[in-house]
Amino acid sequence: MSGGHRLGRLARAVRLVVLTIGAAVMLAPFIWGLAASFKPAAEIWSGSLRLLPESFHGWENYTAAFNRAPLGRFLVNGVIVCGGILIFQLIFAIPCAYALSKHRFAGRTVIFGAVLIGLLIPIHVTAIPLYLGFARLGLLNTYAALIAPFAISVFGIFLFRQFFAAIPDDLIAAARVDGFSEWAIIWRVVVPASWPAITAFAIFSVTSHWNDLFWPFIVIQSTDLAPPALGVVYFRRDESGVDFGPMMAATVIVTAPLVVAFLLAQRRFIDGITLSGVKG
Amino acid sequence: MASLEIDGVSKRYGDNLILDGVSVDVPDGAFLTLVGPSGCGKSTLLRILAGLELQDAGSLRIGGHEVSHLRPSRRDIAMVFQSYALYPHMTVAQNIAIPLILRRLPLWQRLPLMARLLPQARSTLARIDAEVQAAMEMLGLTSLAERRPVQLSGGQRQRVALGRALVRQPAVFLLDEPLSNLDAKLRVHMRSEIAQLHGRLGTTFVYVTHDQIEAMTMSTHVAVMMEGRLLQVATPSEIYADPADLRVAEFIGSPKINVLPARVGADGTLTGVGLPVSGSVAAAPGTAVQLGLRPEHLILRRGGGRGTVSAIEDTGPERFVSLVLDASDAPVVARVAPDHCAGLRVGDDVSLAVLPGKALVFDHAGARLGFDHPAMTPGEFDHVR
Repeated sequence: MSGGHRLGRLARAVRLVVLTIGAAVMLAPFIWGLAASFKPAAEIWSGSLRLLPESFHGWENYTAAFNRAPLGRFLVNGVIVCGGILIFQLIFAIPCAYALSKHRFAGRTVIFGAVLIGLLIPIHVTAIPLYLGFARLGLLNTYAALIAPFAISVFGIFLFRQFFAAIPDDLIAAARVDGFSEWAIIWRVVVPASWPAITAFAIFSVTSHWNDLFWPFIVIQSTDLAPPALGVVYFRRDESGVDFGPMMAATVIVTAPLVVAFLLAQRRFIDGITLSGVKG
Repeated sequence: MASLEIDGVSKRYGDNLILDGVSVDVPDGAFLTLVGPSGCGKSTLLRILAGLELQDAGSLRIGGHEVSHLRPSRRDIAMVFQSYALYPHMTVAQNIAIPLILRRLPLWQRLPLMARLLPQARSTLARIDAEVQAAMEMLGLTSLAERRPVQLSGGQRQRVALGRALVRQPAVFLLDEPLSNLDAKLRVHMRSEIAQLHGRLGTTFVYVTHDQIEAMTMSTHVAVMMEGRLLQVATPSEIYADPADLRVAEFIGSPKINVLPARVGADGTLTGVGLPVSGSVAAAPGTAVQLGLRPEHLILRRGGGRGTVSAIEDTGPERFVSLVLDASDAPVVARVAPDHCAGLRVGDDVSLAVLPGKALVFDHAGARLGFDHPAMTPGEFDHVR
């Protein structure tokens, strides 16, 4: 018995070590960037690997970051674009997923098949046709160009369909008997029962679009409209030389909202799990 | 309160005929139980009554009005589901109030601020609240008003589901296996609670179950369904004592009715059974028939060489004695009071007799046949119990 217990402890220790190494590998670049944002240029290039700065240059780097580029503007753009994308994605994906999971209609399997195929097509394939379309419409260099291509998320439809399928049909039937309209069922019965899925999707959506560089790089020329990732690129270009301290400071500022949002959402995520479950 | 008429309702899923022209009239205030094995179409029929499914043919009338074309919420019915189907994000009180709110407040008055600003909406809400309180009191839920469904036990959830249904004062209550998720003890308790509720409300109930005990104990009318057809609709005691079909006789009653092959003799008597059955069958001589004998209608006697005891189950108040008849090899179960079979062992030699007038005769397809039996002669069955 005690041998088994010790083995359990050993296994746990091994697991912990492996996870710690994995986490360290994943976090190392970010931690290096965070450290660099507090160092003077000379120290960054010194060649010795040291985490803590010898002379603290944080204030200079961060003020430089805010002074040299409209970082605040980039963050606001990020909120507008990611918020816009997420709102439209939810507005379109939730009713669509509800229909796919809870209604029987001709062509349902075909539509769901189309959604699955959509999952396989990356944005890089459709980028050029989309670019040409927006150019024709005169919408290049607008928020619309940043938001519209992502307003319908097949991933969202797929994720919600899978989650809604687990909501008991009886609950929907009870809502119909009670007098909810189909729209009311979606927004007042299905959505409140689906917070975990919605939170998870929101995390995926916001992180990917906040960090997206590819599409904004194609359709945005104006600094005023640049979302955070593109903003960091402008920052570098504008400096016409690489000043890593302020740039790392900018990167940290740009990433911070995501980290904070994720931590908050994680809390909500757990609340959501305890709230759901019809049978409990 | 209203009567319910189901007329020739059929439903097909692909090639499967789920309901095959089901017709039944439920008088006002009746408690009709639809009972049958799983897959017999009873739940589908209930969902059609609720308007959750559409029938392919046939009509439905509630209180004399055709409702087939109406949405579920317009049919004046309330439904209780097997899984309770409570809204997980609402409290007990909100769950019970929601059907009233959806009915009585127009959409724009349901907007969060409106209800507080408009005096009219406010008074409607106050009335709803009073009715919800009354319903919760009736079901003993008052102390749980602010809980959410996850914080309730199965029996409490079931009561909330009943509350949500009865607060609307519907013309017809539909209940879809509401007790099958409860443990055995609670099921017995809720059974009598629902029956009492029916007595108090006097509303028409339609109750679906696969449990024959629920059907027999709660209903005023039992409808036995099999393979999409209604085999018989009658009172519980009629269904048991006077089944129209062998499948009804086999479905209702535990242990199951004994079925023995027999043949009609020259004078209408039964032959080839392996035990004496007096009476004459209304069928041509030579016809193969099936004889149904309820376990409690068999009289067991020691000796006589008609059969051998193969097993004895003791349930306490009575014993189920299984035996094999020498004549037919058919297994037979007799229900015997413990006093009458004290000391009986597996392997013992016994003989059987049938209580007069209790034998049920069915043709080869299972339809009930008339069976005349002589009047009981005084003294003949003195030894019975």
